[in-house]
Amino acid sequence: MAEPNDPAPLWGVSAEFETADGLVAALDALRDQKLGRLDAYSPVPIPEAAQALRLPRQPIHPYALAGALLGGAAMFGMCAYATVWSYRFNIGGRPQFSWPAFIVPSFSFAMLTGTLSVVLALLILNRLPRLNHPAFNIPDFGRATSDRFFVAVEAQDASFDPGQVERVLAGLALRPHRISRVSR
Amino acid sequence: MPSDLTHPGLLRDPVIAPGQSWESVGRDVTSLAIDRRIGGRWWLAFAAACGLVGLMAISTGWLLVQGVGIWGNNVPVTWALDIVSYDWWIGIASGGLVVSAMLLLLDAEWRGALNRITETMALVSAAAAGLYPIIHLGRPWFFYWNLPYPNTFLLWPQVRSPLFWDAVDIISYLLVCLSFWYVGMLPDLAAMRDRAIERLHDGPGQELCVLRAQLYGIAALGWRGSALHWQRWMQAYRTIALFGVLLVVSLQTGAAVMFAGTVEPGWHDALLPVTFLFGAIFSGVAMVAVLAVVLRNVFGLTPLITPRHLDLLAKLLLALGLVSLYCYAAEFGTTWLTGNGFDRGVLARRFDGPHAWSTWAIIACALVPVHLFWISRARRSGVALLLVGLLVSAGMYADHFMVIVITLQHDFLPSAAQSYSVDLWGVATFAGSVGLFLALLLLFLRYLPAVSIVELRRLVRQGGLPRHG
Repeated sequence: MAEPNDPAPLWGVSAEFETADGLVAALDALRDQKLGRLDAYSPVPIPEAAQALRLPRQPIHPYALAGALLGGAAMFGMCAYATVWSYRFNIGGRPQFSWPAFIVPSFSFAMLTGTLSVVLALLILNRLPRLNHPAFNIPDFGRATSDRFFVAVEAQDASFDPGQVERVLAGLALRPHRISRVSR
Repeated sequence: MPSDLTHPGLLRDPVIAPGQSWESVGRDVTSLAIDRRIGGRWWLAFAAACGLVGLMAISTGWLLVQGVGIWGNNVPVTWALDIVSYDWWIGIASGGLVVSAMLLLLDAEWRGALNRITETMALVSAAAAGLYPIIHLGRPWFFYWNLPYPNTFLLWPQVRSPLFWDAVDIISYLLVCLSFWYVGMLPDLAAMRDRAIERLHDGPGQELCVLRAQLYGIAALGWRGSALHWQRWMQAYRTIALFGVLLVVSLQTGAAVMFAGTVEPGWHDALLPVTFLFGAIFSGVAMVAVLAVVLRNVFGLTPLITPRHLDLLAKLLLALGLVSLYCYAAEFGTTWLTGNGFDRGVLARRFDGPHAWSTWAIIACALVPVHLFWISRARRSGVALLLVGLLVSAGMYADHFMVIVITLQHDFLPSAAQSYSVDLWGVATFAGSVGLFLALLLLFLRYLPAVSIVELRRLVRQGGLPRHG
């Protein structure tokens, strides 16, 4: 809900913490109140924060496996197609389908396509690159890559009540360094 | 690793100097690039490296005019310094990638100070290596004939040929290595972006500061450290590490199989895939040791790269030296006892032929000096590590020379034997590839985070929670 006279609509409410403990406690307090979409920003990965957010486990490994298997099969298939059907080249009566010779390139290519699918999965699932995310409007957000921790409660619909979020944040035992309303 | 912490030696030497905080780690690393603490010496080194790159341009130009004969290559020594250098560079690259990735997969916390320089070394060596297979082709402008592409002759490359394997291997290696390096660096690029934004100011040089912040911002892809992003990042980084390790095993053992695919004597021992793999890791760790000492002492990163890192690198070198010793002893011993006449002829020429110096150089430079590291004081000495690292690198270069040239110059018939001697242009081309390596490395050190900020921060107890290994 935008403030009156505020040209930019409200994106959410953020709180800045000096410790990861504070971040995790805030996430625990906010999680069950369903005030808006919760996210945490930190300079290093914090598994406790991921647990506190109850993030769904979205493993990246299926993409890796699928990419590697598809790439390896494609390279093997191409080698077989080239030697057995498309460009038969009989040297000394050796077998056309000489599969052991295809193993090295197929395996290496599988590692390549597996890696590329991991990179693509990482970027696409994380919706990156995105240079203009509203989180960058959080005051002092540059310190999220240095030594500060941020919680953001994002407005999802018209029922979003920034005052209620601020009250919960202000009532925390490990007090946030700063609470801000963040516009889009 | 709780069991580690009880070890008295490790308590004496932490993996990061005491008194570091997240902020100080970030400042130490980003200021190398942002505040340009390194000035004149960097330009001097960069100018020298560019001079060598110029030498490479000249020798490559002459090569295109005259052909590979300028390197002294002949028939039967069709592979000489070109493939020796290529194998050496790709060996260093493979070693760097495999060490960094294995330590990540094994959760070795001490990798934090060294993984970035190791991965960069791997990438930059692969770039130096990547030149050779192209320029040594004789008609390098037709290099794409190695690749399967639709063409009007309806021809295919010979996919059973090691030439094709090599092309697939090196392309895969370059892209996997680049992905591992870049994905690992993504959060650090975001830290660079935010420090560059902090340094924005009015007045002279303002446009450049803005441009710098924008470039780091684009390179960081808008990374913002969201919890879900971190979760996926950790998985992605580790998965790519696993692919990288497997690719290196495929590449190095595949190289041994390529040698074995010929009928040349001396290239058929069943242990050779293992010898190649561990030789590569040995040379990679040696080069990492050299770079770690340089980074520590020239770039003033002593709080981040501690004596414990030097100690661990020295121990790793010692262990790999012992593995290499076993491989050489087993290969030579088997050939001597049970090899056929041609194999034993190659063995004899390795120890007593015109290029026997290469075999003795392996022993003198790579296999013997690492035993200095049985002494604990030597393991903590930067000078010792630097010297042994350089010696091992030289010794491993001699290894590739021994394997390739001594076999090729005399195979089966006396009439097919022809002497080979190292030509000045071959040396010039190699010096040029060293220049390319150094120039790219220096650019990296000047503009990108030389040490992984994220990995180091995970070693610092801060933020209330126990540290995350």
